[in-house]
Amino acid sequence: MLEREARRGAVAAALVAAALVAPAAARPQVTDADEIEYPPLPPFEVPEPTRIALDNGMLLVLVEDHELPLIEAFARIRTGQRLDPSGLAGLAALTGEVMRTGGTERLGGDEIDELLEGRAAFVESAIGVDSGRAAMSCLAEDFGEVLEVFADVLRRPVFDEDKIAVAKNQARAAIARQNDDPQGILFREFAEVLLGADSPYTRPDTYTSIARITRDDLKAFHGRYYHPNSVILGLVGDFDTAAAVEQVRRVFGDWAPGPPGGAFEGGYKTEPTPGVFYVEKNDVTQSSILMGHLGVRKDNPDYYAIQVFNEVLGGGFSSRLFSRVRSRLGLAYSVSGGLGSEWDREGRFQLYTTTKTETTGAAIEALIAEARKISGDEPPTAAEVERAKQAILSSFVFTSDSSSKILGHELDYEYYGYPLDWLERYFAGIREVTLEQVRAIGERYVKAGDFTIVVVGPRGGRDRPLADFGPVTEIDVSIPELEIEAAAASPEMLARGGELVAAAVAAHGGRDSLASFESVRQRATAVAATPAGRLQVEIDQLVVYPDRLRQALTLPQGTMVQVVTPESAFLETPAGRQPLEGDRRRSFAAGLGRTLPVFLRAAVEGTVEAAAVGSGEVGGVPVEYVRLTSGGQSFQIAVEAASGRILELAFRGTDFVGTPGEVRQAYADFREAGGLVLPFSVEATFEGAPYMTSTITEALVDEPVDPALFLPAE
Amino acid sequence: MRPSSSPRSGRLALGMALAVLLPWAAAAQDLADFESRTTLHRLDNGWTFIIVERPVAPVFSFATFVDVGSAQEVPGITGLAHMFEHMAFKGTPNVGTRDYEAEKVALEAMEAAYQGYEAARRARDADPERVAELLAAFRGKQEAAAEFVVANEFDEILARAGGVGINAFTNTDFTGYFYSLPANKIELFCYLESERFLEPVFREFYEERDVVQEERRLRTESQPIGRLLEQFQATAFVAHPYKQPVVGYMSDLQSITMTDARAFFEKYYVPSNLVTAVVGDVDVGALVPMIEAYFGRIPAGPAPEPLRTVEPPQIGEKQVVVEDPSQPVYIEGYHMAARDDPDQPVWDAIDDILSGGRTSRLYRSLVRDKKIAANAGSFSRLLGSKYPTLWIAWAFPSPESSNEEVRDAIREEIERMKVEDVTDEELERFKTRAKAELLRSLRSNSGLASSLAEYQTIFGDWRELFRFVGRIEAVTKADIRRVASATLVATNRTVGMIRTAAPAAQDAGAREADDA
Repeated sequence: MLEREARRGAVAAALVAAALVAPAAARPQVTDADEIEYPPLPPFEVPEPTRIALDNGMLLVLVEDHELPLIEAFARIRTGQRLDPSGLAGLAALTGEVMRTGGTERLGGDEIDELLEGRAAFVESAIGVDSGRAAMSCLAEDFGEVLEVFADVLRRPVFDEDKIAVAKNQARAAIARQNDDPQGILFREFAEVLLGADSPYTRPDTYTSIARITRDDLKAFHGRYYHPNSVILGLVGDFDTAAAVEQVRRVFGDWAPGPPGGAFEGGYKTEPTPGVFYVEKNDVTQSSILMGHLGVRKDNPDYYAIQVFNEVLGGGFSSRLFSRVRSRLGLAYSVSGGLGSEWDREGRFQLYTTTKTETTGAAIEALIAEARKISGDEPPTAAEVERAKQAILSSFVFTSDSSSKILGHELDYEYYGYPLDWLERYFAGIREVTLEQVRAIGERYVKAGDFTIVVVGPRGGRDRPLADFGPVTEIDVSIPELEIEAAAASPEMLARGGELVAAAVAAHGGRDSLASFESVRQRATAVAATPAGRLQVEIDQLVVYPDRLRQALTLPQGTMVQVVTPESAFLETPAGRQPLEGDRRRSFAAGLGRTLPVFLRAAVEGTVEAAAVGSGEVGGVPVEYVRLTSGGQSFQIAVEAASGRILELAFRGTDFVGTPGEVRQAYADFREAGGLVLPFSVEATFEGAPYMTSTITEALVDEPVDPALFLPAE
Repeated sequence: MRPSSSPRSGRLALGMALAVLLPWAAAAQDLADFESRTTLHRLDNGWTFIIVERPVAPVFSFATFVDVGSAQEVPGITGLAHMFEHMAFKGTPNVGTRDYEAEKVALEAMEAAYQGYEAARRARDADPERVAELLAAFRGKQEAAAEFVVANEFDEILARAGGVGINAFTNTDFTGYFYSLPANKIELFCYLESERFLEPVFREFYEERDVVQEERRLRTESQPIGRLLEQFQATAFVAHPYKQPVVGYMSDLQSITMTDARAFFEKYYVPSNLVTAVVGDVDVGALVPMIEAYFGRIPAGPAPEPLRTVEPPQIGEKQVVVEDPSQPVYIEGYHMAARDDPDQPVWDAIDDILSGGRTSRLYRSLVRDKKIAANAGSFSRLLGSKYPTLWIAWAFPSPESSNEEVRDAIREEIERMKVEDVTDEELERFKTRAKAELLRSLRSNSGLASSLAEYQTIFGDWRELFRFVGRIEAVTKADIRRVASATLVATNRTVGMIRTAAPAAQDAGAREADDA
């Protein structure tokens, strides 16, 4: 305890030192800020947190604060999103959330909501990248009752299925919306290029990973990481420490310790990935720009000099970045940067701005120039370093100006294993930083030649080509659709699937015809239910095995042609031609693999996995369902066992405006055409609602194909 | 005498204020006690100061509210209130310059050159050659004026002194300025804050105009919700300036001049239009004379004329659809009264019962039960509240849902507010939460300073902040049905939504001109 008191004394001394100048009589009306003489900062006693370990290993840190009749608790738990098992991205985040919303053994989620909100209290739980967190806040008089809920949430969550469904729904909405905000794309893709796409720090939640996660996974994740010996619990507010400890002991004391968990090392790429990485986004008027490479950990011996360096480069309105890129050049509203650090892994050196498309090159150049200057020919000056040190030291009092901030620091140091006098060391460390130390930082840690530069913005209209700044790689940010899981197929399912597909091959023309056809051209008249109403469409679809697809849709407004071949993919409308890229190319090309002759030919050639997945009815006819997995996609067909006819095809697709959902095509009116047996009537639904009805007017097999059909029109 | 600085006396100072909130019967008594810790001081020039001693830690925060926002703008100068906010960081004759006498001459020459250029650019049959010449001439003068600038010296002085949270905002109703300093820097606050409004120098005006254009691109043009809100407010209002975006239209941002900004400043930044609240470890006895000495330097001016335009009653439902390559968003707004209307607490009840927390009706219906929205809620002050404004309900449809589906579910909940009484639990929860929210807000010097300055500006009396809780206590179930029935009706409604459109690819010409 003596050591502890000395430590707190050091904070007070540091605060006095921060005031720097002796008291003087106030003189009215200076005309220069330097003429003001500041009295010393009043002495300030920083409250001392009390630390108590329970027998089960849970650590309590308490700070009394009687200003208001409120009590708050903050817990850190040794877990994190980076511990998501492979293939289950999103599990930790869902666990953290549903621990609270899904109720406990004693009270359901809705009852907890009512109990808390009726008292204007809250309890929340979440799992972040490198820690689990839980917090509560209540009036002092409700402390006992709310603390019980808080303990139940940490100890006895039941993960109600319906609340899992709500959380999954929100997670899927976040995936659907992940490309709406350009800054969201920018920071996500930068991390992915820098740290690696398969890093536990960047693995994105996907529709597939969210769909895969079950209640058992949530229970197991919670059971593995939530033990009292993995919890640090901080309390701050209007309580008596001894009494509060007793209350905590009552609700947490009988919680049995478990195996320690949550440790994590590495998990990301450490070699740089220089170059320019571009994401096309045409519905914005700016380029968003982020560049840099890995940074440092907070226990780096140069940490204090780095903080001063950061203040000079990007600390606030008078920093180099702000003064030059924003105020002087007017290139940006938002500009920032610095050599970042994390507690238990490297942070990032990064420079960020957003600028109008026409000044993209100018802004990239300005940021690189600042990086080169501060790490080379224009290192921080004596005056800059002095000002930066003064800014950090003078504002030091704000690191401890509330009890909850003091508690928060203590929890951080404890959780990440840093010395508890870190803050005092920080003050002394900054004070002792020399000009030479700060000048050395740029050269040591900033390597402009290694920069990963990510740009998100419109494709056209830039002042300079991106290639001026390094080799350009385009990043496809299209959102992967839900993959239908194939892994679970048993030998029995595969055997029955094989039988059904063999029957279908026989019913649709036989092995010989299917193995030898070269092209199929179908013309159809269709009625589509679009957001704009019912629309008559003429369809002309040409498939050339194995990899060419052309589809022409004629609407009252004109004809729209989509083509995909190994060489190119494009869309032609009366308004002009545009390339089909990324998501749109993939989704159109996937349609080729779902045409009946193509997937049956793949089945004949043995390149498709077929698994029987159940039975049902299509239009009153009994069918068996077969899941086909081929060429990276899965979809389902319904086979009438008696005839071998395929009566339905179902897949995850999109509607006319790109909304993802389930598409079902019901087939009827089978007719022979050039050795194949094809449906001449197709009724499609989207998410159960009528979508398009097509009547095939002509089906031509192996007619001569004009190669020009697959080339752009002149 | 300066109060002692221990946390205990801090408890006394605000703990008393708090008592207002807990035993409600004693509210009047406790309000009187809070009053004794709070000093209202109005200078002869009309500038109002509210000072609260809260010596919890040796720091203080302040907030200055200027009673001007984008609602004071007329076509052609939209964005100017916000533009001025940016200029308030550019310094004074004493701060931010190497040689003010010479700089002043250079700035006048620059503005004359800009006016010449602007007139030629917008003339009928503008002569492109002449315009280019005048632009070059202006650029030359701009460079010359920039020679005198000490970049961001105003901010630098504050940073060196330990200032944190240095910033400002502009909305439809107000312009606000704030930061926090260590307690011993109180004189620096008096000097800089009075200096900045005594004689602001509009250096780097045209560079900053570019910065503000980037702010518009960032927040409005490049964000789906920014695009939607701009269209939505323009649709909901036909006359009142709440229809204009705070950041301004791009054409105006490319045309406003330093002369416009000067005129705006002179009209609206008169001391009687300003309120400053200071909260923290300050000694009111020492502070008041310092405020007199520094802020008293600013001459009084005539109060600006109140806004003339009143929104006419809506006569039919309106709708705006933004076709956008992003996910659907649904909002609907209804015209409602201004903040000082006696029914404001009823609106707070409607808002809280529909959208406060996981027990709220919109969350329970759309998110929890129907699972058709990722999130849903409502706002009553999004577009401002000094003048009659909009109550807005919103939802983000989940991937398999649609704007139409969330609209129907929102309407169902709105109808229930009109035809059924809310429950006792709902009404009680609203009242308890309103009190607790006020209680929690008292823990922050900067939050309290902003609230006091805002209430003083809107109501002419900071005590409204505490009295308001009493008004909330009086809200009844019948009030809620009455206000909902009168207001939440189709003819008073504006619907706004983002409808997902296929992403635009850029034309081939643009592609070929580029590299990627």
